[in-house]
Amino acid sequence: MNTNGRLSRRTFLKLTGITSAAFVLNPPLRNLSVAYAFGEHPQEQASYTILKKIPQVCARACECDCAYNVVVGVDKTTGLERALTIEGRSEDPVSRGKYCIKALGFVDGIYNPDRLLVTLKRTNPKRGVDQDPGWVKVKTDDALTEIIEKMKKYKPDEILFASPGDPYSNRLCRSLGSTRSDQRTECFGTHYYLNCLMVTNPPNKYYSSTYTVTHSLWGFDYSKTKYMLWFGFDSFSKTAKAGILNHIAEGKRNGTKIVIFNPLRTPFADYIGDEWYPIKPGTDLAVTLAMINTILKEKLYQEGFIKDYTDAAALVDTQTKKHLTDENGRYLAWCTAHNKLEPLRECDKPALDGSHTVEINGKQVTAKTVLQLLQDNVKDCTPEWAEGISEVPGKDIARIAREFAEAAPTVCIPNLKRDPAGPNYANSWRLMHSINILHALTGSFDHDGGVLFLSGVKIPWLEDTDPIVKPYPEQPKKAIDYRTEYPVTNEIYRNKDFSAPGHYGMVGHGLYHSNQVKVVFFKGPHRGMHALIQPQMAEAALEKMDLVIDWNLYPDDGAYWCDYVLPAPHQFEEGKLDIRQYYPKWPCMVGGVPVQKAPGDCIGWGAIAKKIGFAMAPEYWTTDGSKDPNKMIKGNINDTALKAAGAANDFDDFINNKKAIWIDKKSYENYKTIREIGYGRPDGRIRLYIDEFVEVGHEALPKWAPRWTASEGEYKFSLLVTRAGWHMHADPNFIDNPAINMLSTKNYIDCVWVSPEAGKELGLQEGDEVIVETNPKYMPELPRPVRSKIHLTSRVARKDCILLFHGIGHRSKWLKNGVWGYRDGDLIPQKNPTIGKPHDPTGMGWVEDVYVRIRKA
Amino acid sequence: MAQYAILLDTRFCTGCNTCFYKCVQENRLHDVAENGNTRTLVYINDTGMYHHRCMHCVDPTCVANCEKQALTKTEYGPVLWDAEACIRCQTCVEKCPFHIPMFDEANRKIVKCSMCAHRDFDQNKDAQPACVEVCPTGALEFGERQAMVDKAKKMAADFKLNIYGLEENGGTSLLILTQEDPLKVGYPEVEKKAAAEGGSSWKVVGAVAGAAAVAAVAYVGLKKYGERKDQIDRGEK
Amino acid sequence: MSANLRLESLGSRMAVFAWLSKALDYPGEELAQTLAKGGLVENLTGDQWDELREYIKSFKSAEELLLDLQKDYTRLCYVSKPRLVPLFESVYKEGKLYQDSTFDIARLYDEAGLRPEEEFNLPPDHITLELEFMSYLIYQEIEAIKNRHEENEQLALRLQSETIKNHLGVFGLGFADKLEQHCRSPFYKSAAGILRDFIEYELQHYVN
Repeated sequence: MNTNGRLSRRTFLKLTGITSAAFVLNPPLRNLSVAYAFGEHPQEQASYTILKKIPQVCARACECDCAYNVVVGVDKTTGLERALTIEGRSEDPVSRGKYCIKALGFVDGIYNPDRLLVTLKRTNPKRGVDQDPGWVKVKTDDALTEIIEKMKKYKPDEILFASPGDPYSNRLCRSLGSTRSDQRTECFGTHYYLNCLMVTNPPNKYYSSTYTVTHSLWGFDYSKTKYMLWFGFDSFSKTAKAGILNHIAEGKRNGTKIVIFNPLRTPFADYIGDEWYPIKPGTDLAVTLAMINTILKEKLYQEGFIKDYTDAAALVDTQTKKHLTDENGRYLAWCTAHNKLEPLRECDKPALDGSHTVEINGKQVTAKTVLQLLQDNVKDCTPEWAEGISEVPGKDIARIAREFAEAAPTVCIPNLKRDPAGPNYANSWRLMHSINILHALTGSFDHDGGVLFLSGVKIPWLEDTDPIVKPYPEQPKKAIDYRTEYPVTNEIYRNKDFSAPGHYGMVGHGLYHSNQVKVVFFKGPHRGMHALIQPQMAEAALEKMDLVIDWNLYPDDGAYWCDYVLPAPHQFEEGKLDIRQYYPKWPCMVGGVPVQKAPGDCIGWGAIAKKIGFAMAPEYWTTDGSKDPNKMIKGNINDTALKAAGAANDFDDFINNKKAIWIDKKSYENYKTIREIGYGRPDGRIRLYIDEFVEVGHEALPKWAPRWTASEGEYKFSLLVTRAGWHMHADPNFIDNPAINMLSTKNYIDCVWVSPEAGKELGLQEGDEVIVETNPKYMPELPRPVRSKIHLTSRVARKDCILLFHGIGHRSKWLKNGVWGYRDGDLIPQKNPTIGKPHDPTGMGWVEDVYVRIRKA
Repeated sequence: MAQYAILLDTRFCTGCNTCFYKCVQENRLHDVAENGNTRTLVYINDTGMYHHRCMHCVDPTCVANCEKQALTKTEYGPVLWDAEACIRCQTCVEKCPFHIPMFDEANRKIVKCSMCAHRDFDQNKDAQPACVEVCPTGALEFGERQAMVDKAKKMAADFKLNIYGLEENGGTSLLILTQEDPLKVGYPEVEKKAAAEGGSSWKVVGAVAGAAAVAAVAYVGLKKYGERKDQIDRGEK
Repeated sequence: MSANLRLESLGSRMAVFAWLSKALDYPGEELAQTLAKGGLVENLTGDQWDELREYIKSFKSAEELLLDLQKDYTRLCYVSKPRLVPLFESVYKEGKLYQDSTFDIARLYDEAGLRPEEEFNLPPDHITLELEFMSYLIYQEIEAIKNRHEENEQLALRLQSETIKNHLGVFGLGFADKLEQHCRSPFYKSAAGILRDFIEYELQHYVN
């Protein structure tokens, strides 16, 4: 407007003519208020250099949850504060004074200029990634009121919460009778469900999956173990997990032997791993079966352990393929001392192997011990057989099996997330089963230097602190994520642990192929849409929804399908209590204090859940089941947990007087937890043989099964997915950090990694733009090829693989400026029960069971 | 005054780059880092971890070639840059045999490691450079140079490792242990000379004057923090 | 300059800062009503305001105008990524929220005896706050002149000079440029122009 010349003095006098008269009487203040009369300030300005240290716990950037202090600079004059950096806490048994780049990234993330500070409301009804939603700002509280009024019009099964199983989400979904499904938990789903079925059998006094961050239900004694097998455990994401790394480094310096199986040669394989095998993707199961074969054939197992603590000696009916039990449900064994059937727990000398004909209720039954069935199961799985599948030399597999067994029980096969036995392949649940069997055969479960079981410290559920006064309504008969089609896992979710992993890998399919759900509420900053596999299907489905809401730290691609986006506080703006069960050697609790008050109109999840819950199902959100707002549940779970552990009187006491940390450095009692929580209470047993799988037409013991997909023609590159050590999904704390983006670019994280050999065969040069496409046979609907530069690197050690990095990039044109990258999820086909059930009774996603082709763009 | 050095055992480096970002935060280098200019950065190369950071030569080429004495070798180890004396001729960028100093065009700054001299490790025995403090695996170690040299030699003998920096350019105050040939990992080939024992042929400046007064805590806040960094960059004469 | 002319000039400057402070805050009903009633354009003459006049006239009601203003403001200042028109000075100078410039301006508020209202709950280097601050300082200058309080007059002048020179002189111009470049609504284009011209005028005339 000033192109025609400068605003003249005359013009601005005119401009102000409308209002200037009014001002001379009163000070023109709206957002500023008078603290001192003008000119009466003492004029003594304090220095800028006051510091304070605020205890915090790492904001779920990985499973470690390192405790540290956030160093904050304070300007005493104005009261303003700013976090500067992190300082380690050496007294923390997990981090031992260390932390990683992600913790530092969180500090600067607080001050990200693109943070969402207000609630957004769509005015343009047309949804889509490049649609302009016509956002307007609304007060968060008003928006929630509007949302609730809209939600009230829908039946419980028409509402989906895409949310982790935290106490508030659980209570909200249960009180409304709506489905909760979440990606975060699915990453750990295969671990979680196999662990539930084999070991933990929730609910029990130790385990509550929300607070065992990875749902892995135990930790690994990295610094004391003598021998570790890593089936892809050394993913790039592990390169920055300080709470694990400091222990691994100590173990390595003390002589831990580490054997790595990974088609990638990660930095760990350069030195920390003693041996590294570039295994064929999706064939780890063959190696574990061959190890079991060797250990059984050569009787290298810990006989005392498997007799006392597992069902190895329990008898299984060869007809029904289920455990034989007495009238009290107790497992039966063949007593070699008395030559008769006895309850396993009462039998001094149970037969470990063999076939036995026994009489049950007057009927002759042929039964075999679990160990015998396991032997039968793996009898053909020789190391040579495994070599043919995995391309790991058979002689090495046999040697490693022997060395592993010899080092027992201080051995372990760490599995935390999407690494070994995560939901990577259709056979990953069998791999997890095999890994647990190896831990059982070596007696390393619940053993110092092996697999550490959780301490008894627990944070209660809301149901414990604020009991419900009447039963929750039924969950939907048909869940949109198809969990109801998977009876084994659905039983656990419905009746044992509501925080159990959801079947998020199928949510997109469910939303797209049905009209059941009308309302989707994404909770969990930057995880919702970004985290989906084949998000294009969910995107198409969201176009037809009546109401979509996101609670997020910043508006991401998902926002372009939302009606409302509510601003979430930054991770460091929330208080927390953490029990860090990933390293449970010593019961330990650490506290985190908000570094600052969340700016703008941000709202915490607990407040959202309470408001929706109280409005829609008040009987579950008041202490007496009334609708009295004065009787809202308090949910003081932190106070309760601290008091129960004897750590502090309450959270304030813990923070102010106990330095926000409590550790009980008692010595680890081997096998104590198994005794206390196992299936056959009180003498506890790990189940190697899983009857529930038989009931749904699968095998009760792991058998070799190939991947769901196969290499075909040009679609010959197995898709490997990892993430940089400095990223976590699409967390804006990291992908919106310009310095970290520079780091990523310098290390080619924005590229698709291809082996030099494959590059040569394809005629590709370093830096070429390529198109990566999924085999249409496995992705018949809504394919979306990925375009990227390539990086030729021998770190991709096989020419039949390519590597993509997870959690980078944006798609919306409104978000694209200055942001780079591609989306790995676009290449991963939606799963659905029809293709899933024949392969996998857990129903977890198979995110790397994909073959792609590459061509020059 | 003791001369200090950093010992980097690349076998334990996973390329997490916590050292890089800690350095950015410690020295408030966000702006230059965005432009790709860093005091320390780890490249995850195919053959190993290449740390691009100042070697703090015993007899630094940059110091020898700086006409304005904007770069100085301190007697306790670090090579420091003086922002006020520097005329931005970028001779140091050109002459450094290790290709370390970077010039940030936008901010008109030479970017290179100060070994966190502001942490005043000579006065404060517990202090160490920020990168060393944070390294999750303990791949970085800090101490008196002779002790680090002795340790490097012992580890090289025990584990059949290479030492980069012992003889390169006459010896450096960053000593790097590698399993592979360091040149294959990415470290540049630099002429080996007999170690310049007993100090540099160039004028060695004294300790950072008055540093102890402000470095009682490792971090200082806000404004003063930045000012303090500038003082260190200027060698605080 | 006569005393009266000086007071008149100060009153105008104060009013412009106050007006800009409101105009560059999230648009509310009051602004839309004023605009719809011709409350701004009737004081402006010349061709360069035609686009603004046409824009205001194109809406059937103040509500429609308000919605259009709110959509543009939200897109520019609350959603875009990277943010097209950041509201805070430190983002222009240091690339992030709550940086040194945030603390510096807050110290100037403090010297003037001011604090942001509790419910404001955003960093104090928000454009609307800095403009409001200038308006307040000019008010205090007027009061000091009227009451012949030389110390306060000097203080008010010094704080104005520092605010313009060290803060709005860079930030305000950067804000105006970005607003003009990315806005859709002619109102914001006009507001950006007024802001820029006014700050340039201030830099020329009121910085020591």
